[in-house]
Order: sequence, then structure tokens, then C-alpha cells
Amino acid sequence: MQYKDRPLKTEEYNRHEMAILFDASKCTGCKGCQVACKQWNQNASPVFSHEYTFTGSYESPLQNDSETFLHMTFDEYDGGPLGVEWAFGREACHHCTNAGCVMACPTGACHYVAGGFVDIDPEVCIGCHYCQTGCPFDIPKHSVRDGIERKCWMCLDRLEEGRTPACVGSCTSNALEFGDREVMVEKAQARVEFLKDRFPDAVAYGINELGGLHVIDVLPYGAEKVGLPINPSIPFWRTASEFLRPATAVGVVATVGLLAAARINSRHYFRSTDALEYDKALDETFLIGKVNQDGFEDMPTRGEGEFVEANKDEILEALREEQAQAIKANRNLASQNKREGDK
Amino acid sequence: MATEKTIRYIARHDIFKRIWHWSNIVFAFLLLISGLILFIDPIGHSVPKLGLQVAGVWHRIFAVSWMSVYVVTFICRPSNLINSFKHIFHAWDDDDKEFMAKFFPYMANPKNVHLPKQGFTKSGQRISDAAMYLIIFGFMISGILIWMGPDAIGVTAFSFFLFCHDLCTFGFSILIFIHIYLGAGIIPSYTPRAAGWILGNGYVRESDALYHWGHWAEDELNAEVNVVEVPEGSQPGQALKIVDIYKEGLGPEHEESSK
Repeated sequence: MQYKDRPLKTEEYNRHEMAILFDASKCTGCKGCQVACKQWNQNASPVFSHEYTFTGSYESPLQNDSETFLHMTFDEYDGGPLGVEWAFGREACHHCTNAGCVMACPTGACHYVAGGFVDIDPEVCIGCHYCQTGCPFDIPKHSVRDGIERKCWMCLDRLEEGRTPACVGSCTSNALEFGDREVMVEKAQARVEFLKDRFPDAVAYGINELGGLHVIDVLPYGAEKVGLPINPSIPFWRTASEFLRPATAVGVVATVGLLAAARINSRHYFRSTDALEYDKALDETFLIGKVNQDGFEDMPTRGEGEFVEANKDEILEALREEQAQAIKANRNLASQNKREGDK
Repeated sequence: MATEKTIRYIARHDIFKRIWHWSNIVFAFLLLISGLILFIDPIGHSVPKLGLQVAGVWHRIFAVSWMSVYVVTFICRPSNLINSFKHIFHAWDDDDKEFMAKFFPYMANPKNVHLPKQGFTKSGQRISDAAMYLIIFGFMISGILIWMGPDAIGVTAFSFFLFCHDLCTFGFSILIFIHIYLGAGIIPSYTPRAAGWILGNGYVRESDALYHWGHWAEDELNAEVNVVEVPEGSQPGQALKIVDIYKEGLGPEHEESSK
């Protein structure tokens, strides 16, 4: 893991990997965390009453966006002692150890910071959308207002003052905790064990995914019920694009190397400026000036290397005579064949 | 045949094809420079934000300008592009197959490897042209879709077309070196005069034409409509319009046919 020069004032956060633990079994769905996040980050909300159209869902808004870093999900299912089960989920940046957004970012705006979190530097981000292609959770969103990508940044300004992220600080049901990642993982695993009797599908999500997430979720109904992918991985096309960068470098070096070798190997060869001429009457191309020990060559050739200057007219005269002889011989042969055929 | 002290030239590339090719050179270079800033991470990480934003804007301006040249030259002389595609898809004869089989040994050893005569477009050139057109149109289409952004086409589609754009960069980066090596006459047997055919006045010396495209050159020298004869040491003017001898019935029925 590479850190940019963002040490935090709280030394503990510089020494250890930190994480948020979200225990959905304790969550009441009050969305206080969602509101606290918006307030602390001064993210916009609709200002007019009834601006959102009715969606039939308790979720508001319906997904995270550039002004909603944390989005609480409500999924209703039939069952349970009261006839309905609510699976609460938390849709926000998971701050992956092997973050696809960091891999995808061409400017370095998306980077790791101390504690293991992933931040997007607004002073560097150019809003190219590349980070969106690397995230398996579809988290970074483009802000039309600012022209950059925005997402949860773990309230680094609060962490630097020794505080917890805004969402954690607002939780009234102790569903959110913040601390050393190893401790959060142990707590998550212990909680899942406790929940197994009542919730057989309970899982602790984020322990090993993508190298380990820095938001650990305890999910009583399993990951799929809250819309999280099982075994998330960096999207295929992003991985393929990343492969092409070194492949291009290798390809270029190999091509230039092979061409250079070919050039060096053929450095002593040259082709004369006007060695070839076409004779319309004979319908043939001649290599002019090529003289060998036995006479003249008349076939169209190339790559002959050095040659001796010779009289072109003499060559052509000799060739015409030779061709005339050949034509005469062919005519005689044709006549002979015809006479034999008539017989 | 050329009399003493005169040289025959054959018109090969008309003015629109040369303008088109010049635009390819200029815009490909500018697009490569402005695009590589984002393609090569160490460069992107080093350039300030303003520089990256300017490069992004200019990349789009260059791309639109380049596409405009294609559109304009196609409108002015549609036969160039149409014939180019006809050559690409023309069936290969025995000379074409032999040429391709011997081409790579020829590149390494031009003195001793002899290549057969070729038509207007060599078989190897046809493969290269097909790849180049695929890459260029791939750049254009994927570039337009990337420009629309993931909000318009979806993140998965955006990611796919970004990959396509990167794939075209991979192909172009390799092909362009081969193209320049041959086209600019870095390979000794081609001579530096090669660059002048499409970058200069569009005329090819008789000897060069017979060397590279024997069948086509002989057809043109027989037809004589695109041939000029000038005193040795001087150059013909600009090749503005070229008569299609095959279309006019002045050449053999199939230009790539072996003799």
C-alpha cells in the first residue's frame, strides 16, 4: 500500500489500519448517519418540499450520488415474526485495500491515505470518470457542479482532529463503530457467530474482499439481500485496460528493436536510382546496367546490390533480337504442331 | 521509354489524398501527445491539473478537426476512400501470396530476397491499411462514446469503450513505427524518396514504381494518361487529379492480375 503525504494528526491512525464497523442487526434505519454525512460535507439536498417524486421506497435518494456520499438502503422481505423483514444496508465507499479507483485514476487524484482509506484530491481530479470504471460497488460519482468525482472520504478532517467520521458520531443505536481494523474484524466475526441462530445467512462482509475493506459490514440477511456483490472484483474492462499499458510499452520496444535490427542487417544494401525501365513495345521491365560474366540479364529483378554501368541501348537491342528469335521459334513450333494435328 | 536525360513520372496520389495523409500525420501526432498524458500514468501523475484539463480539451478539438478532414476529403473525392476499401477486399492472386510469404525475410535481407510484382496496393499494404482503418475508426467511434460519458451510456459501456480506445492506442503505437520505417524509406531498399510520393507532389519515378508496384506501373506506362516525362533533375508539378485507367478501360480488367 502506498500512502501520499497525508499523515494524520492522530498518531494512532498513522500507525494502524482503521475501519468502520457497521452492524446492520443494530441499525434502526433512522438515517441519522446519512444526514450527518450531508451536513458535515455540506452536500446539497433538494430545497423544495415534495421535490422528490414518490418512489414507493423508504430510500431517499434512491442511490448515492455526488451529493450523497452515504446512502442507507432499505430492502423489505416477507417473513419474520411480524411478517416483514427489513434488511438495512449501507451504500458508501468501502475504502478497499486494492482499490480499483486508485488503479484506474490517471492523474493520481485517487490515492491511499494513512489508515488505509481512499481519498479523491479535488485539487488534482479532472473529472475524467476513470475511477467509476474501476469500482465494483459503483461509488464514485461525477459532480456536474464541481467537474470532479466525489465520494466518501472518511471525514479525514475529523480524523485529523482525533474524532470519528461524522456518520459514526451520529449513530444512536451503536450500529456504527470506528477503530483499529483488526479489532473491528474480530468484533464483526464474533457478532456474526452470535447472530447465526436467528439469522442463518448472517455474514461479515469486507474482511478479505479486494484485499480487505475498511468498512466492515455485519449483514444478518447476507450480502446479496442488500445489493452487495459476492466476491467483488475490479471490473473486467478496467483490468483489461490496465494490462494494455505495459503491453503497449513492450510492443513498441519490441517493434522498434526488430526494425532497428533489420535496418542494421541491411545497412550495406542499396538500390540504384533509375535501374528499372519499362519498354512498351516489348511489354517488359528491364534492369538497366546489370552486367554479369556471361552477358546481360533481362528479367525484372530487385535487390541486386551493386551493378556495373552499361550501355542501355545495346542491352535492349540484344534483348529485342533474342525475343524476336524466340517468337520465330514459337511460330515454327506452332506450325509444326498444326501440321501434325491435321495428319 | 525515357530518352536520354529525361525521367518519366507516374501520378499516384492526388491532391485530396495527400491533404488527407498530411492531416493524418499532424492530427495523429497531436492526438497521441495529448492522449498519452492520460494513457501513461507517470506522466498523468506529474502534470498539473490545469495542464491535464487543457490536454483534454485540445484532444477533443484535434479529434473533431481530424474527423472533419476525413469528411471533407471524402466529399471532395469519394473515390479515394472507396477504392482504398476495394483494394483491401480484393482477392489475392499468386503474386500477392508470394509477396506476403517473402516480406518479412525481405525486410531482414533485401539484397537476397526477391519480391514479385504487385498491383496498385501491395498485399502486405492491404493488411496494414485494413488494420489502420480499423484503428482510426475505432478511435473515432470509441472516442465519441467516451466523450458522452458514463451518465449517458452507462458505466459498463463507458468502461468497454475506454478499453477499445486503449486497444487502438496499442495497435497504433506498434503499427505507426512499421509504417514510418517503410513509408519514410528508412528500410534501405525503399530509399528516402518514398516519403515524397504522398507527402510531396504525388508523382513516383518510373524506376521506383516498377520496383514497388510492377503490374500497376506497367499498366500506367502502357496507358500513358497519368505519365509525365521531364528533364532529368527537374520535378513534375503537383498531381491534382488522376485518371482511373481501370475504370476508363485503359488498363487490364483486373489490376492485380499476374502477368
